[in-house]
Amino acid sequence: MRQSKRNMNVLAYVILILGALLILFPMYITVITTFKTSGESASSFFTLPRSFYLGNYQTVLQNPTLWYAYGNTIYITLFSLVLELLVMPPMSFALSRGIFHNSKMFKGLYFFFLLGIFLPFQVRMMPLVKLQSALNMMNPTGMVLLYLAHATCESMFLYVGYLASISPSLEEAAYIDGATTFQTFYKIILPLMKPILATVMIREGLAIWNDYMLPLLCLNRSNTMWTLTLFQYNFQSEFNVDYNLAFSCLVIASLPIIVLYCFMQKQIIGGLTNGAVKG
Amino acid sequence: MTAVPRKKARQHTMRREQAIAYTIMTLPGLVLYCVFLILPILMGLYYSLTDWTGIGNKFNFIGLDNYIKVFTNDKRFGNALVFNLRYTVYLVIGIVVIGFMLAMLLNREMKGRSFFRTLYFMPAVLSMITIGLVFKQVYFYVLPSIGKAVGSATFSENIIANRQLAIYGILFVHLWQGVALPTLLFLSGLQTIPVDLYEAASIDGANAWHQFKSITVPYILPTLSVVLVLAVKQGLNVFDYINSMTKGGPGGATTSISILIWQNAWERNRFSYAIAQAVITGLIIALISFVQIKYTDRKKVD
Amino acid sequence: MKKFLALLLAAMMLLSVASFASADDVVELEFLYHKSETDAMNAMQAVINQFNEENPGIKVNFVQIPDAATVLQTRATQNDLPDMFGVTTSTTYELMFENGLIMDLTGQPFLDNVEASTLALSAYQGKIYRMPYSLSCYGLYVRTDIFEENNIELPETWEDLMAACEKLQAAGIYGFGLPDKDMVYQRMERMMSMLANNDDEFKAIAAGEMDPHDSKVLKGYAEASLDIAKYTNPESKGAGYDESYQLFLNKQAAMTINGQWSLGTLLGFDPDLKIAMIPLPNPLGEQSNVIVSIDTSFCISANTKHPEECLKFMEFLSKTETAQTYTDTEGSPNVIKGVVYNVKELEKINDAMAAGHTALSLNAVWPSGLRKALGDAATNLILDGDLEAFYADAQLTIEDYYNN
Repeated sequence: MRQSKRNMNVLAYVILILGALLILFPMYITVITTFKTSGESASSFFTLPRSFYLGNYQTVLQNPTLWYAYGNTIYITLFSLVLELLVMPPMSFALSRGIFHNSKMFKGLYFFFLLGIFLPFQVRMMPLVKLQSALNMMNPTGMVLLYLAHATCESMFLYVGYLASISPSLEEAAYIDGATTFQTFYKIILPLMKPILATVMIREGLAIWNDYMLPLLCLNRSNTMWTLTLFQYNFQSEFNVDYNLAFSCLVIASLPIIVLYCFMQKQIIGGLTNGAVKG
Repeated sequence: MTAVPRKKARQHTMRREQAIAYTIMTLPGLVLYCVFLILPILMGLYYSLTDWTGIGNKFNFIGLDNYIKVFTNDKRFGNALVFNLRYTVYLVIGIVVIGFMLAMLLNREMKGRSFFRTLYFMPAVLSMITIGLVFKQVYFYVLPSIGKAVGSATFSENIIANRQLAIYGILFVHLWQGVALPTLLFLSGLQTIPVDLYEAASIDGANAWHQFKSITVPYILPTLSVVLVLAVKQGLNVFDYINSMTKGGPGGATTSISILIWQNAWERNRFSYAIAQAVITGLIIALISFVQIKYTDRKKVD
Repeated sequence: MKKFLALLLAAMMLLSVASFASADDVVELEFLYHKSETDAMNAMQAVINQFNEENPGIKVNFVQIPDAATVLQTRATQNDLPDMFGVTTSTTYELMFENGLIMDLTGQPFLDNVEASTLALSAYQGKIYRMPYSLSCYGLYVRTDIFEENNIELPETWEDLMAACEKLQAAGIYGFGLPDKDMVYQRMERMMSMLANNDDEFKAIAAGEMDPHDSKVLKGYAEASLDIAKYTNPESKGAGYDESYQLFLNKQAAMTINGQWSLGTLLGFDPDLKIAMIPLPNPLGEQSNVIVSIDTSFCISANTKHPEECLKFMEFLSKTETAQTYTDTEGSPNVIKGVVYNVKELEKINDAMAAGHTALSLNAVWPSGLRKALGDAATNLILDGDLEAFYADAQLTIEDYYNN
């Protein structure tokens, strides 16, 4: 038994390490490119840099738009995530338990919300921009509302899916003790949702952080309103790409989201180590 | 040893306090959803019934003409649909198999687990622009040099410039990045399984396969259902990966529906027609998802 | 936790973008620029700075964005175009003219500073809605060092070109390095523009009055394309713009076919590169023309609140000194009278243009989107060499784009 477990572990390591190489290779290219001049990249794209050239980072960091872009992106992402955290989990809980209690209304609402997942973005893209413009919300704060509204379908779908595997018998005990629905949700269910909360936050956080289309359409009045993706795309015009600048910019733009992930990742494992779920 | 005890609890009816609380919890999201999603969708649906070019505000109402044209007079749409269906099948299989396997591996108690968890998630962090740039270089320089070294004629050329192979080149990149989030979902799904269930099963003498079948699978089904729906949606809507690597080429071999929609809307000035195509795609996704949700739901109760 | 949230909210407020309060007596104008190349941006910024300095009552805000065409189109639907903006030549903008979204500039005195022939080409239904400013030209890039080493003259006719390719091949050098992975459509459209100065043949094909085999344009292009393919480095099939530059830079090809906009990038990689750009020889034996496109024009929104100030800025742009400043940095031929354009690599192109040997790109004459769709057929032709399939595919595509 113990022998087979050790074999399994060896197999797991082999697979994970092979996969890791596959993942690391493009990362390696990204990072080394940032330390080369465009001339050096042209002649040797895959080798280590001859000398660690810092000019690309300098150019990117000296661009004043970067700091606006950073500010705007952090503002939009954080605000959207915090509001989403307030609105979405209770709503998903209500839908999930409403469906569980066989309520026609909540079932209907659930499928109504699903509609938004299926219809491609192109259907509502132009009208959405028109609406934003009419509401005078072509600014970072307007973006927060858009992302929040967008999260109502996919995040809801993820939360409800997860809640389906948390047994409602847990709540029943609380109700019998006289707790209100809100109390039950915040005291009993929400802590159990930690892994999915973290997952959805990461998912949404990345989607917002890396979104290109909506910021392009809504935040083009001035480059003080730009987000990081707009800033990044600017290093790539249709006919020439400055790989060195583009990749340096990427590294700078991705750092906060990597930190966010490292922080959130613990929450996902947290669910297990706390042994929170008792069947 | 059974999965989620749903049936028993169904007998409870909602209390009044519960019904009110649930309604209050749902309201803010519902309002946002109606204003920022349903309203634009309705406006979009209206445009799809017109001959709007996408510029200016002059257009005529033409009823279902756009929809009829998609089905009767658009070979490109048919070709794109076939491409998307093929792509989606590969993508869904790839995401579920690789994602689930990785989640199982990353859920094991082993040294370096947290390192691997971070590493395997990294691809999801990169923006599409970078991934496109890097892999274009990989396909142009790295893969052909490996192909030449092993003497394979097929891989001595850029595979995304090959009509038969381009789809796999794009799929690989999509999976390279796209498997990270489903893995995370599976991983968080695995956390809902009470640890003592496995302990009890071990004491009962159930082997690993039996534990997997009777504990892991039933608990992971809701997550699987979610992952499937999202993967189907991604497959039928794929745009970024194609646009950044082949732009629908070579010779139209990787033109997906979304690429076609983009071309109609922005390059051909047929915005209303593009929206009609998007609506039809949405209906196809909804249909597939509905069948699939029903199917996994039935499995779950069994 | 509460403390944390409070801090977070405070931070958000600080981070949120400040509103742009400005003095009441200064008129602010939004100028959206459609190019994102560094040189072009610097050129435009310099011109705007100069204008703002000379006109204290007006402040032109320089706005630049990737995918400007998409942004302009979106803003056009909201009747919210920037006060002024730069455009390329495309049917999309003609729709904006047609919808009355752009100010009619016909008869404005500053237009007299624009070369008359180009101005005439910019007219839409007899009216001028855009001030043409700079051109892009398309032709043949030659590595003069390789040509000299092998004693080859710069080609002037198609036969010369083929003979040069033969010699290069004998010396073990590929003739062309091309961005054939996804840019075939561009070369196809530019070459077809040299073969005919209108789309009459396509209209006839769409109406069923002409067989594609009899089309001078389709036949001329298809055969020339196969000629070129014989001498093209096979890696071109998998190359985008950047990789095709590499083939050319690494001496894996002696020639490439591209626009003058590539020059900056090529010299950026290697400032000592010995290259020349010359007109692409005409495959039908007729005049070898430089294929030009009006790459930059400037428009004023019909809805601007400050038409006077906008016109003033246009007038400033149309001055020879301003245009000279712009051209010196941006690097493409300018159409304002009196501007001197001296780039040593483009000497032959300049001579040809001065002699009137130009052909206008048909991209904006064709139905929008046609060149990309027809480009698929052209790519397949290069991959398979199947002429019949090309004609059949071209016919279907032309019928689709002209009749729908």
